[in-house]
Amino acid sequence: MIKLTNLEKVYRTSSIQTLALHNVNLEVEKGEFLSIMGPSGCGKSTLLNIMGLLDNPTSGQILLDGHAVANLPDRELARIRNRKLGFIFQSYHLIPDLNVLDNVELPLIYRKVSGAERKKLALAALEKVGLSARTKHYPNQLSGGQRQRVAIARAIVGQPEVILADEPTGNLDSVMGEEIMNILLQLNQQDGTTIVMVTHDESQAKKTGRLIRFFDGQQVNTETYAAQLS
Amino acid sequence: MLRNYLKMAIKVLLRKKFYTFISMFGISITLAILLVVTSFWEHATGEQAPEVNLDRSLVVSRMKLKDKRGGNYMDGASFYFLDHYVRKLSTPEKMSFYSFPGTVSAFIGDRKVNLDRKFADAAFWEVLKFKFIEGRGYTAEEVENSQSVAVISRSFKEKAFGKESAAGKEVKINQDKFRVVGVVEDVSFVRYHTSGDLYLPVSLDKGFQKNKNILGNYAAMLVAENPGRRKEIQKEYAAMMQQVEIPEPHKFESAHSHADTYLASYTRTFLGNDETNTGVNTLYATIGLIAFLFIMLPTVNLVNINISRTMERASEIGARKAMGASSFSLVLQFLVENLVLTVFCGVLAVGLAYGAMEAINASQFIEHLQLTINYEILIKGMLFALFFGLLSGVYPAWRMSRLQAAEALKI
Repeated sequence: MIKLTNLEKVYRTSSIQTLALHNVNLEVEKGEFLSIMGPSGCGKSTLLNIMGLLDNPTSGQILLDGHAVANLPDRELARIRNRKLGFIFQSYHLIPDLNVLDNVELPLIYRKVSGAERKKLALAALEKVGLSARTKHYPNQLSGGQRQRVAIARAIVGQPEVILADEPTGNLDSVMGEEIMNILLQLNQQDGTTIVMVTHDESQAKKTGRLIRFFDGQQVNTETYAAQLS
Repeated sequence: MLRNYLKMAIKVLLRKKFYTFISMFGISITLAILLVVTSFWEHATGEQAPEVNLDRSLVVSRMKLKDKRGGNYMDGASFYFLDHYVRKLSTPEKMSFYSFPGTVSAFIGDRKVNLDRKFADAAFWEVLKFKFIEGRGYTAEEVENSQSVAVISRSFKEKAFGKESAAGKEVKINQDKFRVVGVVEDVSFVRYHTSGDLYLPVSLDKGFQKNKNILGNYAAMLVAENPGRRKEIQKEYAAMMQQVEIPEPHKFESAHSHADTYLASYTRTFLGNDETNTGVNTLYATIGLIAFLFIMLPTVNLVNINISRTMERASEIGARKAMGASSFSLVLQFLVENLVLTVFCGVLAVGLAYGAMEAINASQFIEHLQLTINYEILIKGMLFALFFGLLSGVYPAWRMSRLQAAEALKI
């Protein structure tokens, strides 16, 4: 599904050069739930951004379904992000000017889906995360857990093959965190969605199929588990 | 897609009320001022009754004598010059000679009023299309016979006769009595070729035919068959000027006068010269520069606001990119937002301009001034608004769209 080969990411300023990722080789299988752990600044989010085509690697290759995607033009990258990938962020990144329904419809707008179809799909996605009663609310009228559920609905509304989740429970209390984690596990186990999740929470990571540990921009350890719903 | 951009634009504007107010304030006020100024300009120089057919008319309003010591004497033309030289031109289809307005006093009951008096020939009523409220213009025969007839303006008629009809009645100006043959709609004083309260036959001018000088107090309007034939009149006029007998040749070396377009008749004196430069281009360039700088003020302000909002909207930009927005679609979105804002500004500006014009008209600080928003000005205003939108939106939108998604999501 996703194959990263000899991936390097270097951040350069006029006075300093920081190696964020070094010689990363990683393959994510279709239908897999992979979690990535490591201390802050070890390159987890950078790796996820590069996998999600939100950032460019300094060198190395990214294959998505066997196709190299690192150097595609902006419009093509946007199309892939729209069709194949769904994103969930720690800070939700919902658009404050749009209500819940409009936020969830967003990926479908860029896919040029008709208004009626968009609404139908968005309501179905909100139903899936248990938020169909809040469609007219604005993000600032929701709790953190509700916002993250809206973000998940937005990520899944276009039925992407891969969901990239960057610390999706990082801003939530343990109860809310569990709820969000269960939704992700269901998506993986029931819908077969491939999920790559960055997390600081060991117990959540161990619920996924495979855990990769990162340190100083390098992959240092891999553990496999039987994915489980709590 | 465009519908979604519009929906988003309206949502952003409604939810960011302070930003919307600040942005709209500068642009709307600027546009409203431009609309009012344009309306003044149209009022002063545009085609409006009674000065119709300006596109095929030429004006003779200045005569300049250069003396041998390098000095200039400048005034209107004399009736003698117009009658003796200009009347002989063969290229104009019609022509009319008339004096510039001069102030005279009249008594209405025991109340003294000052009036603008204009002497004009009979052709004046044919060349210029006054709106007659009563009666008619005086005839060539009445002029020929120096009959004491007059055409008066509506405001003078109302002062002198109230709501009663004035036609056939007498008005007394100083010691002279005139029979009113017609009443015309008021003309603003800025249209000095036609404005006046009292129009009298040119033969009643005391200096009529006596002044053999070429400097005087008269102007002429020459009408060509069609706009293209004005050049022929100008050519014939220039050739005629070569034949003009210079008065007091020991003192003056040359005489200069031009058959100019309406606007050039104003600009030549201040911005042009006696040769080919009428000054019109200089005027347009100056007005264009001032208008451009004037427009740039709120535009730069809006660019500044938009750029500073880039950081505020970084999260949105990152999220949209993650959801599949290309840089191009983001540019379009932000541009539509800006265009919607400026179109709102345009509508508001038209409202403000309308209010301001009504207030100016009501105050009558310029007598008989009637500023109006016409379709042309409205369209110009909306084009200004779109121009604002594009000018202030393109660069910030491009900058926003260039923001790296990963970077934007970190902010």
